[in-house]
Formats: sequence, structure tokens, C-alpha cells
Amino acid sequence: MKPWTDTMTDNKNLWTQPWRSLLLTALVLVPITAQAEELFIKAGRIYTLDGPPLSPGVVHVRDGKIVAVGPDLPIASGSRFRDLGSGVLLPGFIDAASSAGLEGGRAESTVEVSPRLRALDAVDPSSSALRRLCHEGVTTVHILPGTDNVISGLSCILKTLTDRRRQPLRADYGLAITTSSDPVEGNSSRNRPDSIYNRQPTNRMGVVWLLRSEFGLATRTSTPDRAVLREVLAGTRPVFCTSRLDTDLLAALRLREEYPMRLVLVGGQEAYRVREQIAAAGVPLLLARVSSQAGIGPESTETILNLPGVLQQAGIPICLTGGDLLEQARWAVRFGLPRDAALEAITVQPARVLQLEQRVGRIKPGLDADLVALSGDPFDCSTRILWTMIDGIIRAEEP
Amino acid sequence: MRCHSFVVLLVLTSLSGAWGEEVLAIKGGKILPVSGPPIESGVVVIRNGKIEAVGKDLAIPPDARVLDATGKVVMPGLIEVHSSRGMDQTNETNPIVPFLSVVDAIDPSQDYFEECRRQGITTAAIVPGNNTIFGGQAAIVRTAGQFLNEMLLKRDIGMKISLRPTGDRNRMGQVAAIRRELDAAREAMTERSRTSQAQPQPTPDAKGGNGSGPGPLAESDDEDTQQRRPRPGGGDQAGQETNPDAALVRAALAKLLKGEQIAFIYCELPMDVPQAVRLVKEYKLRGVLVLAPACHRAVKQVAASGLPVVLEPTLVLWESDPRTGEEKQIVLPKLYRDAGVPVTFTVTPTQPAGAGRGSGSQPPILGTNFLWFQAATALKYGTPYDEALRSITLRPAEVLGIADSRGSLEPGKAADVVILSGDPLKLDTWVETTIIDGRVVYERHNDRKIKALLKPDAE
Amino acid sequence: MLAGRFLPGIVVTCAAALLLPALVGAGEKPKLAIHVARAIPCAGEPIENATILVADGKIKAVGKRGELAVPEGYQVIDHGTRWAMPGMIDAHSHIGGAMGDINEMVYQTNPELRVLDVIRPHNEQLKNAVAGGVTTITFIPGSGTNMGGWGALMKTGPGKLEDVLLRFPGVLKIAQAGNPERRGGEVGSGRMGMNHIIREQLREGMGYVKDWDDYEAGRRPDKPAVNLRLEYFKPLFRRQIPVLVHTQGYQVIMSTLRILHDEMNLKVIIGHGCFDSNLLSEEILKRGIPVMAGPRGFRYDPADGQVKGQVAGFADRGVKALGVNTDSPVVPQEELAFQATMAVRLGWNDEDAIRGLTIEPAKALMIEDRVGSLEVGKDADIVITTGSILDPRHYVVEVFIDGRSVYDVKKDRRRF
Repeated sequence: MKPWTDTMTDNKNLWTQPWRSLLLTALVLVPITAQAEELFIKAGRIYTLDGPPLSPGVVHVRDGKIVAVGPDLPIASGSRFRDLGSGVLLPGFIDAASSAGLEGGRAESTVEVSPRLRALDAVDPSSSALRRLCHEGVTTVHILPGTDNVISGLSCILKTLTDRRRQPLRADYGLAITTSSDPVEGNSSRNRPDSIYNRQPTNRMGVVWLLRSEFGLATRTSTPDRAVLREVLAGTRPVFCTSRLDTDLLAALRLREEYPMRLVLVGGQEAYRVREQIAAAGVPLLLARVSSQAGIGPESTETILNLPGVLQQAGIPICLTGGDLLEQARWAVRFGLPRDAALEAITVQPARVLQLEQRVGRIKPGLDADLVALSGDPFDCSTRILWTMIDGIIRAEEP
Repeated sequence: MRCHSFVVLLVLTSLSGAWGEEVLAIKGGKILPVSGPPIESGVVVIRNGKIEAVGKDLAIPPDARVLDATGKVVMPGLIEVHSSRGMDQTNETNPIVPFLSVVDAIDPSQDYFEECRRQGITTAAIVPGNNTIFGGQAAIVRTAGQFLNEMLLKRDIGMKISLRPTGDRNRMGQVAAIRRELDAAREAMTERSRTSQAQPQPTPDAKGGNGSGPGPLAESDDEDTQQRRPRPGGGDQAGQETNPDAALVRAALAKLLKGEQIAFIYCELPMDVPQAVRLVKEYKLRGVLVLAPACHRAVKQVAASGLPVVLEPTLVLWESDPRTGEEKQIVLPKLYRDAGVPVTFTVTPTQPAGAGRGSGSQPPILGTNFLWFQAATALKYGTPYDEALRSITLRPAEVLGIADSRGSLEPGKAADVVILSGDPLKLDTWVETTIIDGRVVYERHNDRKIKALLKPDAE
Repeated sequence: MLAGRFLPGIVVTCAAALLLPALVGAGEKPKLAIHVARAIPCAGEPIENATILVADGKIKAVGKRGELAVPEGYQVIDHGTRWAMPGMIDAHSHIGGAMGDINEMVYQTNPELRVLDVIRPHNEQLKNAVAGGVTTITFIPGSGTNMGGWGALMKTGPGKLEDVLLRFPGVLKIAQAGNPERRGGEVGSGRMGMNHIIREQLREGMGYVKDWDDYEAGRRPDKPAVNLRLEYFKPLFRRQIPVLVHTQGYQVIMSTLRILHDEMNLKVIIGHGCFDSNLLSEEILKRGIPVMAGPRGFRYDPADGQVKGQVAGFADRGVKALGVNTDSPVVPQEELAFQATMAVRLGWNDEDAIRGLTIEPAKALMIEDRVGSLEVGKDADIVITTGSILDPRHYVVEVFIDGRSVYDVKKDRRRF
């Protein structure tokens, strides 16, 4: 079995690329260069997520962008053409809450409040976790720092696999906070008095207090270390709050009432118990990885099988996160989420939440050419992922 | 861990009298007998707990209770070839206990059996866990019943031998302990057969006992040694003869050495596979390899051994090449099939391993708690449909030695039947009815637990 | 007053004051006619305005006052508005001696050990027990091992060991799970191992008894060796005494039925029987096994979140051989009646509750010929209360054991 390789990102191409473009610019034949990046893909079915699906359909890609999509397009001569036969095309999936790529610890645990620390500083772009996400069809990933401390820092949004020269979509995007009890681990009043871990919070009450006091101080001070928090309060920076228990979810909503912010909830294992409140607040929810078996989840949460379905029916915008998005979508549908909502939950919905609808999430002219090719119906458990394309280049392919 | 539908099951079993007295006729469904081609809109007739007839246009007996399976699929009950669940503990702390039996630990009221009925698993082999050297005797059970005797189909069918080191041991110590016990047992057997005329048989076997215990210790004439006992040593000591259970161990291993029992040998790493094959050859064991995912690197030795294989639930995994850093996706069903190794499958525990603090730990792989999904994964990566279905029905029956009575819908076999809403290997299919030995033990429309998990009550 | 001649004055007075009741009591079996407003004999219907005649430590007669004549020489005790019931019997108690001596834990099975060797009659805790109306207890070893040893059936009142001992060996104590689990690497850390250990020890005993039975019946010419370790298995396997099992939870109860009853053919008493054990009532009934339930009397049913009474759970499923216990000192012995009160509060009925304190444990323990009801010929163990003992506002005012008053709130301090 041949391992899949990045078709365009291995060292060889990095070195040849500049040579080639030098040669070509010397010849000043821009149309020839452009022609090399033109691609037409035909599929038995295309879910554009921008109107009803096309059966069949054709997508035209150029320079990493989608140029056109329709039931039938004239195919320019000399351009590359891929025919998926009865295969299916979907927009590249977006994982809106991931820790993939974070190396050397997920958060700074020596302090409880570190709003200026950046996840991007800890991301290894060549990480195997990112490569595996790409193979699973995830083209855009939102990487959040961990929940080891209460306010852990700034998230970033990247394409999962890309040229090293490419910039992240967002270097410093949202602020990661949590109302869960994750930060209390390691803190204890029984530590030595001079230990830094002899500190609040040692339980949930302390976690919420720390959040309230930090945001409170941010309203009253103008020191640079609280700049990020001020941006949150000004509404220019979203907040991603990890909350799993029903009480933690309500605590997050309460925080939002006290300090206006653009809140996005992450986790939500017990959200079904407080779905009315979440729906009324109009807050989206990035669901923790769904499971095919119910039971006790992290922090002893009581999980149900049809969490996505129940929440979607309550009118809460939901996204599936945590890798293996297509598999998750399939199981969500089995347990009761409508198919359309399941597809949206891994494409347009995360794009909306991450304010990237103009870049990703649909197969629509002008958006990035991030595409996933499947061997058949996305919800058939026998369907395989054939390849994953990012910015017009196939980055992962089934051997 | 106790299940709610258990009370419902108790009521069902107590109401319907002795097991499998009803005459049932399942009509109108697409029958997948596994032992033959599918039968569109066929009939299965069940009498006295056995399948009386399978076919198209069969006459339905007038005294039969008719189950209408129109638009549905009818197939044999699934068989889990190896499970360490359904017991209150999977292993004793003492690692050399081949004389113990899972029968003394199986708990019919556990969630595991309810889950089996819910997904159409009608028979399971309960085997001690892998944290042991010789774990104890396995048993084959129906997945329904309120008392062990009702569930037990066959006891002492085999035992677990683990090649994964337990306690403070490393692999040298683990294998040495296995060989030492097998050697001692073999020696005792040859010794016994040499002096078999002299000894009168001690204690009459108590009803239902496991038959492997020795007679009462009061055989010696010396009153002192009778009345004072050796200090409890337990465990695995260098001076093996001081182990008070040594005689029991040897007696329990005798059946294994005679090939009358299955040796479920657990291999954790690829290097355990040739070790297992050696043990099977040297001691003439009836081996079944229970393979952790990493063992795929030893696929050639597995294939060459010709031994039946049980795969742990993780069937698709990623590996990084340590030299090149390349990512490779390993698909075990395809890998083993390509090497000519027929495989059987198992499922994960009901409780997902709580991810604990933060996002550190590995979540369970979606779907691997369903036995049908394991077969569907095989199907996805190239196993033909019939073979995939067989790998969770007739093949495990063959491995366990019960293919004469279970694993397919054929006249004369036990009436273990599952009625599903559609193709058993499709994600939108649900089990509607599960029948074991002619008795209905699960019906989805009565399943309150699954309803609550799909549509929790509004707060 | 012989002792008084040899002691200094002040000590004589104290000694006399202390010794007098005992001296008067000891050796004397008074004839009594006890009148009560209501007698609950636990044999037939309660009797309004009853008279109980006691002589030689036994019940001579029970009848309606007026109908039953009081013979010459009977001391009349008129308890006016009070009630009389049989002395209560606890089938699971650890307070007959000192608490440090109930678990000998080096070996997992200890058939050589006997509580007989550690009994302290009428110790402080037993004095309180009397004040709670408990007149007979099953004093057993603890559940720290799979087989703790042999328990004794004894009265809680004063007297010498031979006076208070009802029967020894009273029962075998087996703990099948939920405490005896070993942690040091021996076989017996889990259900497989513990059941194996129990089975092997019982087989050893069974073989020994069979050898002796064969010898005594002439089926075996040579006399078997005496093994003191195994001697008491004789009355056990001959079904003259029961095995009292510490067992609770579905799988453990099932193992008790399968192994101790079905395989070993023993007379079994289920002790504790908590959690979901009552789901096995049908199997228990099939085998005619009594259940002495508690002290954990309730459970939150995971199916509907409701509180359910353990005892009512058995009773509703048809189990009649049903009683309660304290597992004293886990629950103080004198609070035995409270166990019945709680059981009634959670669904048991009054009549069976009183029986569960008296005649049902007596039958389970195979001493119903001696105690458990107010019937002619049985021991005069009589408890006088201010009303129904199921009502926690009522209390015990006098207790007779073997026809002697051993507790009287008028004279002694009230202990409960």
C-alpha cells in the first residue's frame, strides 16, 4: 500500500517552484502559467451547500479559487480534468474546535490567566495530527489552546495542509476560556504555601469568579495585558468557552449577560438539558466529538446519543468538531440529525461561526477551492474519502 | 452498570414459561441465512427453540405466533467470539488461575448483555481479560436470561493465556511462567497416566462443579499436617511447589494440553505472535489468536500459522513511519484478508473512556461498539458482503465449535434470529427484534432506554 | 449473703445492692402471670386483653384474660395498657463478644474458628440490646474473609455461658463478596476467585463428612482421621444447621443460590440481600430460602429514580420467609425494631414486619422450637412495650428471658 504523500509540498517542489516561476516569468507567458493551475472536476453529485445539490455537476478551479460551479460547464482545452464518475464532491470540512498540531502542552498552566498567549506559537504545521485531519477531509481547522487554565489564550485558523509560505487564515482569532473544572487540576490549598499551585481556582466557583473578576478589571483598566479582554468586551474578538455540564453552560451564558461578548460555546455534552436557554441566547455550539455509545463523558457528564439532533431541533447553530467529521456526521444522522443539518454542521455552519463564509464552507464562485471527493453517498458507512483538495491542490489522496 | 430493561426482560422471561416453547413464524422479510443465498420475502418457522424451516412460500403452522417482517431483513443472531465483559471483574490479581471459571463471575443483569440484545448479538463467549498469565475458564452464553443456568450454553470451553506481561514481569518472565506451568502440567499428566491403576478416585463431583478440583486434602494420615495449613503464599514464586494451588493449576491445564479446550492467546505486540505460534506447536494447543492492532506487522506469521484470529475493536489506525515520518493508514480487515487470514471481530465497552481533563485522551473510535459496524468496516475496504456477514455469524460459531447449532438460519439449528429494519451493514438500520432459542428477548418499540437517549424528555 | 461476712462494710453494702437482683434471679424460675392489653403471639391472631402464664422458664399458656385462669402460686404482673410480643431475634450480629475478635484474616476460610471462644454474655452492648427488646442474637464472625467461622445462637440476657447459649454451632458464616476481597495477590480478589475458594473449602468439608457418615453407617471399614478443622461441617452438611451468607447484589445472590444451595445442598440463609437482590425473588422462592434483609433498607431504583424498600421488594415478589437485621454494631442492636419500622414505611405490612422480627428469623435459624412466638412450650422470651414496636414512639418497658425479668424500666435505668 502506497502511503499518501503531499503532492505539492515535499521539499523537492519547494526548491523547484521558484526556479520554474523564474523561468516562466522570463518567458512572460502568464496565460501558460495560469493554464497549468486550471482544473475541472466532474462528479456524480455535488453538494455546494449553496443551494440544492447538483446531479451531476462540474466545478472549475483556478489559482486556488472556485471559478464556477454548475450542472455542466464548458471545459477549457488544455486544462486538467478529473472525473469522479459516480463520486460525490463536498466543500472541504471545517473543524471548528481542535487541538490538532499543538505541541509541547496545550496551555500555560503556571498562570490561570494568559489572554495574550497564542496557540499559533505552539502549532507544528507538519504535525501528523494535521495531516490526518486533512486525510479525513478537513481543510480548515480552528485550533484552540487547551483548558488547563481559565483564560488560556488566542486561537488560530489554518488550512490543515498547505505550502509553508502560506499564512494562516487567522493568526490570532478568538479568546479561549472555560467554565469547566479543568483548570482546577493541580491547584490545591494543600500545596506548600510558596507553591504557585496553591491558588484559586480549586473548584468551579473559583473558575467563574476568576472570569468575572478578569473581565471586570478589563472594564476598569487600560493596561496592555488586558487589551485582549477589552477587545472581547468591544465585540471585536469572539470568545470560545469550553463548557460541558449543564451548570457550566449556564455559567457561560450568565457571564455573557454580565459582560457583553460574542460568545461561542465549545463542548456542550449536557447542552440538551439547557437547550432552551442556549437557543434563546442565540449562541452557537461547537459540539465535542459525538459518540456512537451513550454513557458517562468527561467531567462525569451524562451523554445522550442524539445530542446534535436535539440541539438542532431547538434552533441552536451547531458544529461537529474534534476530527473524523464525516464519520461523526454519519452517526449524528443515524441518531436523529437531519442529513442537511449534518452536512451544514461540518461546512457552512463552522464557516459562519468563524466568520469565514467569504473564504470557505461552500462550493461557490470566489471561495477557496477546498474540496473533498467521496466514493459515494456521504452518509453511507461504506463510502470512502478519495482525496482532499486545499486551495486548488490535492493534499491527500487515497492510494 | 445495571440495566433498566432487565426488569422488563425478567417479566418477559417469567411470563412466557420455559425457554422457547412458542411456535413462531417470521414472514415477509428478506432472509439472509448466511449458509446460503438470500431469500426475498421468505418464511422462517421456529418450533421448540429450533429453526424448523427456512424458505419461500412455506406453510405457516396454524398455532404459530406470526411476526411480520415485510420490508425488513431477517438474519442469524450475531456471535461475539470473545468478550471480557458481562462479569464483575475481568481478572483476579493472582495471574495463574486456570482453575477459576467466568461462570462464577458472570452477571446477567449487566448493561453488556442488554447492549448485546439491542444490537442483535445473541451468543457471546465470555473470556477472562488480558491482565493475567492464565486467566481462567471461558464459557459460551446466550445474551439473555435472569439466572446463569439459563444463559449458559457451554462452560469451560477454553482459557485465556496472555502474552502481555502482567505485574512486575517483563516478557521473559511472562513466557517463562507460561512454559513452567505447561511443562509441570504435562509432566503431571504423563506421571498420572503411568500410575493410573493405583489411585482410587477422590471426591465425587458436586453437582455442576467444574470437575477440575482435587479431592479433599484430608488424604494424609498425619493429623498434624491436616489441621495446620501452609501459610497463604499465593502468587508466583520461584519455589513453585509451595504454591498451594499448584495441583489445581496442573489439573486445570490438563484439558488444554489434551486439545479439548481453546487457548485464547492474547498478543499485544508483533513479537508476541511467533511466541504464540511456538507455544501452540510445542504444546499442541487448540490456539485462537486474540490480536491487538499492532500485531498486523506479524501478519505473515499469523497467516502461516493457520490459526483463527480475533481482532480487537480498533480496525483502522494511523501509523507514522519512524524513519520517514510518513503517515500511513492501516486497515486491518483488508490487510489480513489480503494475506489470506479469515478474521472475527469484537466490540468496545459500553462506557466510553471519559476523556478526563482537557482534550488529552483518545476518544473511542466511532462505531466500534457495534459488531455489525466492524463487519461494515471490512466491507468498506474490500471484503465481499457475504464474507463480511459471515465473519460475525457463522465464522465465530466455527471458531467456538458451535457451528452445528448456531451461526446461520438452517433447519435444526437453534432459533437465534434477528429482524432488522434494513441491510444489517448499513448505518441507518436498527435491530427491531432479537430472538434467542425461539424466545423474543428484545423489541425496539419496548426499548425505553434507547428512546430516552434519542429523545430525552423536555426539561 | 455469704459473701458479706468476708468483706469490709462499705463494700458489703455496695456488693449487696449489686448482687441482690442477680442472686435472687439466678437459679430461680419464677411462676408468672403477665396481663397485657394486647398480646401478639406471632402464632395466630393478636389477643386483646391477654394473659401469659410462665413457669420453669417456658410459656405455659397464652389466652384471653378472664378465660385463662391464673393458677396458685403465680406472681401476677399487670401491665395494664401495655402490649406483649415475643422476644425479637436478630439473625446477623457481631456484638456477642469484643469487636476486635470477629475477624481472623490470615486465611480466607476459617472453619476452625468459633465465636464460642469469645462470647461475653450480657456485655454492655447486649444490655442495650435487651432494652430494645432483642432477646436472641446470631453472634457471627465478620465478613473480612470468605468463611469467618462458626457463629452461635445466644440469648442477650445475663447468666453463665451455658445459660445463654441456645445452640453452638449455630450457623456457618460465609461472606461471598463485598468485603472479603483479597488485595495481596492471593486467589480471591474477585468473584471467580472467591467463589472458587468457598467451593473448595466446602468440598473439603463435604468429603470429610461423607467419610464419617460412611464409616458410621458401616459402608467404610476404617475409621477416618479426626480433623478438628472440619468437625463442625458435620451438622452443616447433615442440614442440622444453616449457613448464614453475607451476600448482596444480583450476581452475588445468584452465586449464593447456585453454589451454596444447588451445588452444596446446604440450608442457606441470605443475609443482607441489598441493592437489586430482590429481583431474584423467584429463584429464591423456588429454593425455599429465607432472607434476613438489611440493614441497608432502601435503594434508589435507577429505572425511575424512586426510593424503593428492600424488604418490600422481596415481600411484593412473594417472599414470606423474610426478616430484618442490624448487622450490629453497624446499626446498634437495640435498633432492630427501627429496621422493621423503615421497612414498613417503605412498603412492608405490619403483620409480616412483626413476624420478621420474631418467628421468621427463628425458623430460618432452625430454633423455632425454642423461640420466636408466644406459644406453649417455647422459651418465655417476652417483650412488653408501650404499644406497637413498629411505631418508633413506643418503647420497651420490660423484658423476660427464659421466664426471668432481665430489664424493667421501673427498676433499672431506661437504656433505650
